[in-house]
Amino acid sequence: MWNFFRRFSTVRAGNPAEVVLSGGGGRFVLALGGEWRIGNGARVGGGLDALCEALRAGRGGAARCVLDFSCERLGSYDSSLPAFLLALERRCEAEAVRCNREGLPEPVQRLLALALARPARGVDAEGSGVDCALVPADAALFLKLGTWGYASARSWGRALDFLGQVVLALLRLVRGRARMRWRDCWFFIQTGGVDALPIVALISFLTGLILAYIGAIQLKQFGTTQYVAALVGLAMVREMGVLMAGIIQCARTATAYAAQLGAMQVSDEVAALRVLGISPVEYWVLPRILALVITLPLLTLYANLCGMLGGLVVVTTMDVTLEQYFNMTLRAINVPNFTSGLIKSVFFAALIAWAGCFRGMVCERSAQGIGTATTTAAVLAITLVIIADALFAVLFNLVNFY
Amino acid sequence: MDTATPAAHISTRALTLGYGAQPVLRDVSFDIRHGEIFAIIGGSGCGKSTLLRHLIGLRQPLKGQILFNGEALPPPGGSAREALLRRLGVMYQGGALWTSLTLAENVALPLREHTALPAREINELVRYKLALVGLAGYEDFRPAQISGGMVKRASLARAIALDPEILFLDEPGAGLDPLTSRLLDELILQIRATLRTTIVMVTHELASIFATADTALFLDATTRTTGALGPPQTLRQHSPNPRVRAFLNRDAPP
Repeated sequence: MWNFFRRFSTVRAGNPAEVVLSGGGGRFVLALGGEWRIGNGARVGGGLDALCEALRAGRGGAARCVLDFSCERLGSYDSSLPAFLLALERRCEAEAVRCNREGLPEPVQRLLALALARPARGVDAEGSGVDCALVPADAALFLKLGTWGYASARSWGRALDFLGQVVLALLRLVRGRARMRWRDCWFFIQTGGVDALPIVALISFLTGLILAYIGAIQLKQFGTTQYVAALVGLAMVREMGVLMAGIIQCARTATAYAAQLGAMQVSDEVAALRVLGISPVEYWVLPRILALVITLPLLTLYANLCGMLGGLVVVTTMDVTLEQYFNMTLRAINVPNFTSGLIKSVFFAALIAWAGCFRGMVCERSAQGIGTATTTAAVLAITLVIIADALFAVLFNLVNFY
Repeated sequence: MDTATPAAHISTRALTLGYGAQPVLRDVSFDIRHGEIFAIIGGSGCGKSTLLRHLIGLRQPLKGQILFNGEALPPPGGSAREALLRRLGVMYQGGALWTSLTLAENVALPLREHTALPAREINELVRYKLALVGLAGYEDFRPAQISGGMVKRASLARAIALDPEILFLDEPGAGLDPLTSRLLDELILQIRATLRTTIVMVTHELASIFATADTALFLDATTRTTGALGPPQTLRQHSPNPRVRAFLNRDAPP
């Protein structure tokens, strides 16, 4: 009576897959034919809608409805056939049409039985609350806002919690009761400090060189090129030395710490330590933070020196002698200038190491999580360093420390 | 609420466990006797590992109590809790060896941190524990240099380093070949026989459940609570819960 015929587009040679619906009222027959191959045009989605439409139209209000299958013209098939039938059966369930699978080939029947053995996961009666991790993209604005607020509040809470743990661990270390191996600390001094010497040298040498050129262009107009030494020396010692060394450590060390601790978190190494009654903060985090707090001031000194060398290289091309440069530098730098950079380096080191360790310790348990931990560690560390630098600039100005 | 029987090494009372506010398991109560091999079994996602993580104190239950020898787990951070924790040995699912240390250092760490033994004695103990799990000669390897099965065995050696009163094993046989898995069962039985260790293991290896476990706790993924509790052989034949019988007989789910 009702004939539904759909010819799918042919992609490859061979008979295309086809579906013919016949019958009406309470009984339909679906004839499957052709080659059912993935990529042979046997697409499930669009055909299914048209098929269901035809079923509904042909049914004409019959209370019970059965769909039989005939496969006389069916050629070979792969997963595209059972996938189509599964989708069809799910749709028929919704339309209260019973699918009689007897007409289907044996193997397909078995595959379908396997696929339908467990009911599809519906809405869990228990967890009807909103899962904050999975807010849909089209959620209401306030839901999004609330979720974001909740997540960031939690994140700050965790950051403060971790800060507290670090401080407590430090206090225990001072009292000689922390379980920390100095051997680990030495290892991180080696990898985070000594191994960073070449890159710190290069970057700060070039920074000094750049500063010298900027200064020289201006000062040459007044014939006071020798003051370039004062400019480079002062800028390196107060700001650029510690900033460059710090930013290099954000990129080198904060990320390394985050990745190391993140991987340990993922592979349960942190849990294994905790269950042993050893605090991972004391055992893994303290040596890392201490190592950086020890190395960054030294790296800062080293960076200052390299920067001044960079300046020297520039001014020697402008008739300034080594002696003049040396004397000028010494005269420009006083004790507050010199120590302000070092004071900052200690704080920067603590911030950088803390950011790296924090991001590692709260790492999500997946490969993706380690990536996120590393990225956010670098971003957090650099942000904290720059903010701290600005605060120090204001503070030093307030107390006339220059 | 009944009190723990004096013979119970670990007992739980009406535990509700979960992450955040979402319960994963509800109303779980059981007793583990001294020297018992207690298997926590069930299909994937039923909360076996969650229960284990709570038993070893990594997480706080949402409701209910966990008692060790009739006493509650002390709050985190205190020395009483540390004292209790060092009497537990844990072998993690993925091994969780400390990758920056060699196998010998991994096994030695608990000994170094919790005993005052001289280095030589620690060394001897470490060699013995590694030999016990069939890893003699691998002392100076790092976890990344050995196979997955060896990582598991090294992890067991670390778990028994301090001769713990209670040994927790998370999926000890998973990922091992049948023969190694059997040797591991044998080793577990030997540890219990010689040291009277109470052993709690999470597993879904049927062979190992029947070979080793005295009691099995079946966690039902559907009802999110205890499905059955008893000796595995009895459960297999006579459990009133059809899902338990199906699991233990490897039948299709009812």
